[in-house]
Amino acid sequence: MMSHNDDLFEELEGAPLLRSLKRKEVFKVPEGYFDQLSSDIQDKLDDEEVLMEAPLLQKIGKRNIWEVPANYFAELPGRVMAKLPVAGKVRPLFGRQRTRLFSAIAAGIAILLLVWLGLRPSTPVEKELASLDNISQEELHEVLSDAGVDEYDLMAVLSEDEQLLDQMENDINDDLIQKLEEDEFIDELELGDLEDLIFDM
Amino acid sequence: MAVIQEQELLLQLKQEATRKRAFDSLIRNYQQMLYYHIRRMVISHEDADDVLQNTLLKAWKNIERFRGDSALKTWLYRIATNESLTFLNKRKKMSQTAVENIENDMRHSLHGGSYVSGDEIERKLQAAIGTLPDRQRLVFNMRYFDEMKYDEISEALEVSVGALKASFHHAVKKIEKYLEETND
Repeated sequence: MMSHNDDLFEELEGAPLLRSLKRKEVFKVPEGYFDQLSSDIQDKLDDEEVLMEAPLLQKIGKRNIWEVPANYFAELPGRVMAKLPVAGKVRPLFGRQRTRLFSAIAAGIAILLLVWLGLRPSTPVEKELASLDNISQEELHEVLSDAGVDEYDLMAVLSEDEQLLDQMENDINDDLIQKLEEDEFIDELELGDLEDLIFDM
Repeated sequence: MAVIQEQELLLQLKQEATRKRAFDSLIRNYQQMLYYHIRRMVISHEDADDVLQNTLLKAWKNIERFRGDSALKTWLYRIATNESLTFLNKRKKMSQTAVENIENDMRHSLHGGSYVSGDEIERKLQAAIGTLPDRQRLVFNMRYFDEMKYDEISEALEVSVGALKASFHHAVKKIEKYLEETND
């Protein structure tokens, strides 16, 4: 009995060059493609089931409604490349960011000091200062008003403080990461909350 | 981007002599994908442009830390997502003190703002998506519009596939409900 291969061999008798070629699969797929295929199909079926319950959403479709200015994507690479930091730029020992880090550390020490002062028994001067807490809101308004400060000024100062604190928080994160990188400790620490760790993948 | 091309690009990005040229290619390859991902989150073109530039600058500064455990696309998505969420959080904090209404801003950008096309119902869909919490909005956009696999979204957002599926399901329900309620 002839096998399938023998059949094919005979059929190709008139094509000796083709017959001499090794039969080999030339098409390749991404690594893990066949392992992933069944779960991808299952996910799509799950989505379809969910979307079946949303006929209005399905009816709208997925057309891209977001437009960009003319030549935006043609010009963006150049704009970004022009902003890249200059290679080999020496970072000053006491640069802006480092000064900020020291300021942040100093602020931290100051907070710890305040907590310690708050926990130990009060001195007469501190008791005097603590009595400021007893000033009523009306009296506070009066003092501020006499000083020419209204509520809007106060809110503006407070919101500026919040922005400064946000900026400081970002700078601390940047500096901390820089330090961690320098010490090559990054892989050993579990600092999931640090925003910049998103880069390690 | 094909796997081999990506490996070649990564190799060039690791070498100082070829880094800049390779980064220029990286921007050209991924700019549109990242732009629309960011734009769907921050809505206005001007904000999307700022966030995208920050994303690319952060990618440049940290390219040496990319170990290649995930696809470059996933890594970039992750940075863009983080930048978008940071931007939105900052805007929320500002709006609390400046007594602004973000939803009004978004509605203005969608209806009267520039660089938005689409008919009334397509804009209504975006308004519906805008009512979702930020992370649910991300999941919905990445799955529905970008058609990313759950595994890829899971890597980019560090959320389990099960949680992502649940999040997508809830998002679809909420959007449908919004569309039903505003259906004339």
